[in-house]
Amino acid sequence: MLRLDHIWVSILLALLASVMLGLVTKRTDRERVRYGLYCFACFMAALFGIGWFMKLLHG
Amino acid sequence: MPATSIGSSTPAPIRSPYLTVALSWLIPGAGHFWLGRRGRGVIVFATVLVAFVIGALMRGPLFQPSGGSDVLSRLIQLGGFIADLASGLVYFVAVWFGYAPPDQASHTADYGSKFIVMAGLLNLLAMVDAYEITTRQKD
Repeated sequence: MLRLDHIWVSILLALLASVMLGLVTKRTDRERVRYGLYCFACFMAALFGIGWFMKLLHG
Repeated sequence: MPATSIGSSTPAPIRSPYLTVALSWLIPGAGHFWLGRRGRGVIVFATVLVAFVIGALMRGPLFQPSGGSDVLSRLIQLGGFIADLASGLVYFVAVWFGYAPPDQASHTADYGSKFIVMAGLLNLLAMVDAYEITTRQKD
């Protein structure tokens, strides 16, 4: 059984979703890569932002 | 190499959109492959397969269409089942090989279940993309 920490699960999920979102939404390879990276950065910002927010809430 | 090198440098051949979508559903990426977008097809196949395999390695349970005791639970089960089913042949092969882990209270299994659902949802995105290529709404 594969056991991963929450952080690695989130990063893997973000990575796979970003690849697909970049692939299906843009027209050129350059745009696809840029959009995929943008999506991944947004996922990470949300992940760490919400993570820190919850930590501050719980003390 | 042209800027649109993941298989969109040439116009897509005329294909039935319904057949393309059905092919995309059954074998992730096959619709793109059939439309000459081979690079995209390979990436779609790999992405869906990797998501499903990670979920299966985490022993994520599959959703059942008739599961749940109340209306909300039934809706969640049905939605999850449709998303699981959207992985196409990958789902059927897993079921055929007897993949049916119990729905246990474990965060790892819960994550696994989400990965399997995500594999199907990513394939849905790819199916829409293949449909739009066939109907000339995009390259």
